Amino acid sequence: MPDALDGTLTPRQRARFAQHVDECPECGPMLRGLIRLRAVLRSIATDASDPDGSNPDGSIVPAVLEYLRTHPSERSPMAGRSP
Amino acid sequence: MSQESPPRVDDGALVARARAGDRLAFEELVRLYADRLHAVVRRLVDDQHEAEEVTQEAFLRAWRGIAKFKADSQFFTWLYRIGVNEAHRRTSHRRAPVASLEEQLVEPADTRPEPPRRLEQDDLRHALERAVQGLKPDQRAPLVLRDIEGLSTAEAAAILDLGEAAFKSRLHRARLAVRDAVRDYLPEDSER
Repeated sequence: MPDALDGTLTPRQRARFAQHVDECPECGPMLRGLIRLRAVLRSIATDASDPDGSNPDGSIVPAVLEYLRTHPSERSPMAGRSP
Repeated sequence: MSQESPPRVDDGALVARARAGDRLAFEELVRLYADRLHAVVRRLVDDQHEAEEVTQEAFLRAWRGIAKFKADSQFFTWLYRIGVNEAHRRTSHRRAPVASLEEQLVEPADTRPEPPRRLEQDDLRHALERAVQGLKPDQRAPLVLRDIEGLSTAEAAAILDLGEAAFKSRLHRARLAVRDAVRDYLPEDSER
């Protein structure tokens, strides 16, 4: 099932799997459900950095850059090269 | 933020400069990858504040260790591994017993008038978020990396330091658990 979802079956395996899914009362609904689930999971990636709405301002880049600037690196040659 | 996988930009020159000690180059890498890493981490830890801390710490560790980064692998894979490990390190020692998915879906009690049950995007999204958060950590990370972030199986397995067979097994269990948890929101799946 995972390989079928990921499209990594060989053509022959895919044909056999499709035949099985058509006939199996368990696997058919399971496959359809998992395909739909995967689609909706990808759709929530849009909100990934803020799934609960607690960070409406968006990007974390400024906070990371500030963190790096205020935490001395053990790589001494780096220190102070950034504006 | 787009729904695409992490940017497959040619970051090789930036990584090389950063490995040589160029902080400005590393800051460009932060701009390229911080939001994506944060998105992954946010789903692996308990709250927004902790996700920010983990993301910041991951980049600091990456900066301190980038000289040891082997350029024959993808930078973002290495970076994600640092972030995922940091998230696991913080959560593994204090995580309370995880409520079952069913419990996650029924609480907390909503005191507002119950709206008609229907397939609304917000309902589905919130149900998915709760279901993902309710997964065991060893199942959650595969699902987040593969199905939400859209990494390939090979990339996600490498980040988690798993063989592909073990990764697929965990991913499949996670998919089934989430599907069961949101079954009411996916009516096409109810015929069984």
